[in-house]
Amino acid sequence: MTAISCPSCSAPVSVEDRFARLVVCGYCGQTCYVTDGRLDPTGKVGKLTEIPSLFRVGAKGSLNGESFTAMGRIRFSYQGGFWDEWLLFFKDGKVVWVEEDEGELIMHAKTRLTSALPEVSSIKVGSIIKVNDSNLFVTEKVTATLAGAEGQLNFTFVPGEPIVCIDGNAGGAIWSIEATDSEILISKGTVLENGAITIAGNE
Amino acid sequence: MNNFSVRTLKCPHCSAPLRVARSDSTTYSCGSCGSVIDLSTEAGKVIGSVPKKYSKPFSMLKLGARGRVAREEIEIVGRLAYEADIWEWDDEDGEFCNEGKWRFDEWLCVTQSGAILFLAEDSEGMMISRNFTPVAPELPKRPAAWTGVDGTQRRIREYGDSKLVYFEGEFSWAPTIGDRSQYVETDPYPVISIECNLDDTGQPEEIEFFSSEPIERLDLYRMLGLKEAEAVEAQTVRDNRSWVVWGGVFIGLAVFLVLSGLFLGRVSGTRLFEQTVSLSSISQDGYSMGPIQLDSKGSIYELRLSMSMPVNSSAYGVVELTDEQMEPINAVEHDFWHETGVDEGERWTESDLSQSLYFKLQEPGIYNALVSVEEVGGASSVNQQGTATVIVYKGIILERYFYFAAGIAILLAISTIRYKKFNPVFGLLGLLTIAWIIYQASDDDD
Repeated sequence: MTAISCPSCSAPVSVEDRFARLVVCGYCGQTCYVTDGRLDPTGKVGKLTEIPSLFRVGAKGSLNGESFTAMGRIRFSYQGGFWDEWLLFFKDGKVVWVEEDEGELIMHAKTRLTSALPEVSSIKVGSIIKVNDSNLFVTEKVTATLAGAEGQLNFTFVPGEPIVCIDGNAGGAIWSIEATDSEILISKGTVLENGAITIAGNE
Repeated sequence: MNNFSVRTLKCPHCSAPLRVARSDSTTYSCGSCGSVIDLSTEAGKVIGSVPKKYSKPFSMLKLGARGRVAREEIEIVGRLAYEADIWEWDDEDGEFCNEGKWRFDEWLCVTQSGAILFLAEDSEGMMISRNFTPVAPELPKRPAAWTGVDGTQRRIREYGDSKLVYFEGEFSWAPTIGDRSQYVETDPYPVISIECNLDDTGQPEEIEFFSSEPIERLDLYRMLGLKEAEAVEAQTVRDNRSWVVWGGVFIGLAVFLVLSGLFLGRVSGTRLFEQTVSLSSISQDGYSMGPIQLDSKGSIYELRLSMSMPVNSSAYGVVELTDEQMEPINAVEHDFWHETGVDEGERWTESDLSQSLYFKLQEPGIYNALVSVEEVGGASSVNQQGTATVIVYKGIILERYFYFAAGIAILLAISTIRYKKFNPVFGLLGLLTIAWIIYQASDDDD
């Protein structure tokens, strides 16, 4: 763990994982890229409204029996509301995102894209697109922005940047595509059953 | 995760208490004044309002009701009211028929674990619906048939365009009056439906799959501990059973009356008197038969005149029933005929050789039958070969009264089924009328 001062308010900001690429100052909300052990300020994001959740930043727990630490959270906002995604770091270095939406927890694993995607703007809800070897039925397409974040994240983003979020189903799995002008992230999700996650102190 | 972390707020507009059960709710529509409140800010700002036109639900369900439903603890936290333009599959026509505007509600429920389920309700009943992720999702390509998401051949029974017209309670999104969606419902049970939410430009924004099963309102009230609603619904169920039972009773009664009329009309009556006379024996003053002892006042008698005539002849026949002073008290008169011929190589024979009169006896006594026959014309002479037979029956039951009574029973059945309600007053009056008519069937004054 490395303690660095926030370039905006000088509060101590701890960088706890070597994969951390972005941290959000818990005091002033300053987002900073983590570059060569230094914090480069990029902009501020709104502090997240406290909404009761299973998780909290720094909480330790287990997912299907494997221990993790909740390192960060981001909140996406769109016309119809918002959803949160929690970044979980596991001891073996594995990283998992858990989406928390409408009381449902969906575990997302980043997936490498092995074939070309159609132009994102051309993807329609109700259509079927080829993603790797799967035929993905597109169930939702919204444009969201990052409404807030906390903790440490393993990727960089620009607050306020529009993100096209596409959800779909293939073979009973939930797929998610998040596309910005500079990057497309694809993940495959699984709905977590009750009791799949336990958080220390919440039992 | 326990999502029943209830907090109570006051409506910033009307100060009505607002119960917020979900931790992630961002919008609240006050059921009292219709104000829409933004819950994502501490201040809870009013950001709009909903019209109250569609605020009345179909049932006595209400926000805040909690109980164990479908093996889960749930709480009703919101209601979305829709108006839809719907098309239903018509088996007889073999096509979808527009059923016009249809109203339905979706009660938003949150489970103890935070999951969402819906109680969809319209004037015909209620379904419990859950969102699911299909293994093989697809949209129907043909109007009626659809290989559904579960690998079974499904049939689209209904589709429509719906528009949000009212909402109350808490939501984790921001509903807006006028939000549009399209839906498809398929058979068999459990009903699988597809809902496609449209954006402001009418383009699909989100597609969701739901699995739904019917649930009785009475069971739901019981599960949610809504005692008053349970009592009202139980009465409604009793009323519903009552109209079904009584509708069946009236139909059964009508069938019974028709069959009884057919049967009794043929077997009723005791032959009191029968005499046959050759037409050649009948003088111009007639031929007197008797005596006939008629002694049952009030009983229905039948006086029948039957003729036996050669083919291609016709005659006018009269039989008068006369009392001891030879005064006629009743008479049968009729044109009798018997014809035959050949039409397109086929021989045909038609005749009208019998006529009856039904009467109720006024005075018991000894009576006679005076028969007279007048030849009307034809190729054959009736006088040489014909006979006239007078028969008197006692205790006749008139079948036509059974048909009148059956008609009343059918009217009672139609009104009971049409209005789905058994009216005890009309029912009793109808049954009394039927009883009176049946009594008259054997006690007639014709």
